[in-house]
Amino acid sequence: MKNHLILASVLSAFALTGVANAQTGSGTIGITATVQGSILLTFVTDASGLAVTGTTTSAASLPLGSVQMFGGSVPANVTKTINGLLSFDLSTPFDVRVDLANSASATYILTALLATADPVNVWTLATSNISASGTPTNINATGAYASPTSYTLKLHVPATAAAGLITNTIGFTAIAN
Amino acid sequence: MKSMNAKRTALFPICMSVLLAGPAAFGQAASVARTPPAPAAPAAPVITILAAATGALVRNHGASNASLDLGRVSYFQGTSAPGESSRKSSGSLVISTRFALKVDCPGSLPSSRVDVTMARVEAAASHAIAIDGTALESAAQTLVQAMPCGSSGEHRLDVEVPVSTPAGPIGSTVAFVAAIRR
Repeated sequence: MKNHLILASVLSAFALTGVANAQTGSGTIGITATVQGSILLTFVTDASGLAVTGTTTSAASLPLGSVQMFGGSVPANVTKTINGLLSFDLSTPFDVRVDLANSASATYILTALLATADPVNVWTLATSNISASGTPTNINATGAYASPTSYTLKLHVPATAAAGLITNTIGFTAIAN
Repeated sequence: MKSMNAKRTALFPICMSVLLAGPAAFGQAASVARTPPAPAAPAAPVITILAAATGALVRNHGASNASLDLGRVSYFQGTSAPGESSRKSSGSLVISTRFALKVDCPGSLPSSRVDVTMARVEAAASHAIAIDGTALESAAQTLVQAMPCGSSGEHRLDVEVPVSTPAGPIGSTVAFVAAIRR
């Protein structure tokens, strides 16, 4: 019994000596953040389409150049279709890519809205006439993320339209389903 | 049997004397009586976590505890809070800021130095944390070696959030330990 007592006392003394020599202090920092789900929409040049100025960005343009109903030429990958003597169409495909982060959404809705209504020409995106503006047009109800999807823009120009600059902006919105 | 007990009992005072005298007593038996009284033992180092000049706001909650809210962050929009920056890597967003860590050693010699270690208290898979480029784990890792007592240093904090992390709040606690060098 005394043997045990002696051993215990000696070990305790060593242990206490160790604690007294180890001078430590501690501190903590709590780090917090709020992660928000986000979507990125970018325009990409289609393999068969007119080169998109600003490809892979969210603000791109399609420069159709100077065109005329009869004769002349169109940029590469722009198709001109003459509708008798009444009108002509210019069309080209381009891609829209939508990426998703921090969300469980499986698909997205893509809408398009012409910034300024065009009472002369007809703007068609995919199969939807978006010339009226005012209300976004649903052009894809179940878009797939992370892969470019091709849409064709067609501009219908009547032969009666005055020559001059045609310019407009189409706003695209992707909404996670 | 009685004599055996007597021998073992005698061992106890001898061991205790050696321990109490300490290492300084070895080989100086004659001078023990003239040794001045030892100074009071120094107190434990005190860690203070502060905002860095170019870093995000750090709130001090006293007793060496602080908090840092990175605010709203999103993969495609990054972060807009002052003192933070963000960059996209493959499949994740990294938010970076800076903070300062100060260590005081009350009662210690001015030349005293400390070793500072860091560890992540929890192991949430929703995000990773690195300080000065070292990914934090539950096991303690060295942050600074031989840091002069009373000094402070700035450190970079990176929080990496994968795109697979669900939207919502995330949080972690990082623990620092400062140990005086002997």
